[in-house]
Amino acid sequence: MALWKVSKIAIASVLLMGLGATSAYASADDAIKGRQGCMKASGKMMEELAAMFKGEKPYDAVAVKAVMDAHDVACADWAKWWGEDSQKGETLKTRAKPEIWTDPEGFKAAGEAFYGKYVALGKSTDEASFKAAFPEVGNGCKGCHDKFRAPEE
Amino acid sequence: MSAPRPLTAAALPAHTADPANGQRLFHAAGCISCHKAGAKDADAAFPSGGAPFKTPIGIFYPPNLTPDAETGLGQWSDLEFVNAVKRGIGRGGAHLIPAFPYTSYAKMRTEDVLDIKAYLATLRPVVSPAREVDIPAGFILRRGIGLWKWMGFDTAEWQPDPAQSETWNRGSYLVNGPGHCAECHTPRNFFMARDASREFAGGPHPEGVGKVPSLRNLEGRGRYKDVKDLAQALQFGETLGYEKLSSGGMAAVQMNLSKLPEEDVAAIAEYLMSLK
Repeated sequence: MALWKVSKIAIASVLLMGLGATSAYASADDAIKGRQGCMKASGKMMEELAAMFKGEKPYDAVAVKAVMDAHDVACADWAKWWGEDSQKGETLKTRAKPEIWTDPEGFKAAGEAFYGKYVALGKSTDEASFKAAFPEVGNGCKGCHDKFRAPEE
Repeated sequence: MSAPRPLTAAALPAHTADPANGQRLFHAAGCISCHKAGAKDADAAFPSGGAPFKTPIGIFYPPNLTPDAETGLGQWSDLEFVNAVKRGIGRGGAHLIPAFPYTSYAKMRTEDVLDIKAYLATLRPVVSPAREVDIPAGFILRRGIGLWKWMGFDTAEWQPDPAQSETWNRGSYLVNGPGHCAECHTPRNFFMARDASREFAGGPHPEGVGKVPSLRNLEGRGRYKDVKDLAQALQFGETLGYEKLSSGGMAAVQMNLSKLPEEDVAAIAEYLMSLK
């Protein structure tokens, strides 16, 4: 299943992050674009899932899998876009705070906390298990955004 | 001109304190966000103080609000507490630096401030001595605050707008008084006083990077769909995907708002969505 294949790669990448993995991007702008693309896909996913959670849209296991798969595709290289040289874009702005590089342990922990909740959501099979797992995913997003994302421009 | 002008005992209303209301306002006022414990192993939910609070003029260490007699509020009188919260005058009589947002808390009803004191008195006393602020020229700065207050500290209490609903007024009170939202969401002038002509218009972020967003015309600018949308955002934040309430200090604010009864959050949303 595509969801699990990509998730395992991403988990491994997250765990490798602290080891100064070599850059997988041509420029800081590329890294930032990649990160922001993943975040946009995350936003779309959360909007869709929140609507189901609130009952504004009917729960649909197929639709849940579809948005999570789309997120996984956009975020497959997430862990590779955080080299020391990606703190400031050549032309693009980023809200990534310096703390990401001065507190890599904290950043990694926040990422892993999110990932655990995300994987749990991926395992949900019906509306009840979906509703139990979903709120934790947003909490995971918040954990990083609170400490490591700067205010809006 | 720069001397402190405290409230006198005559200003205290006859009031039987209500610690339950005090707890509700403790959350609305966000006390824990600054007065949380600084020590790593301390209980994060306890307002025993000491956590560093960075500002453009230096680092503050908010004091201990638990009822410890030596290091907390245990020996503070009602009048002393009200003067600190509503007039920014410390127990020794000196001006408090408005990193403590008494410029908003001044608008609160004195009964509500007394209720908060009563709630704090129910907490377990924790020994946590005060730490001096880490700012330059401390003494001179404090007397200078007197001048700053004389220039523009409006001590008038919040008044309801009779043309508006009860829920709108409740929201207005919570936002302008204990919520102290304007302290960040209203831009400041050269003297670091709030620019009253641009209430809630947003401005540079105190962290030094990025902006504090404007709260005006939220629906027109597409920030939130309607009152219910904003109320859900305030109550649940990013748990429901509302990611605009996670950064720049808003995660702590949203956490406090999530502890309020739904009717208070709905009132806050109603008031904020009405701002033009």
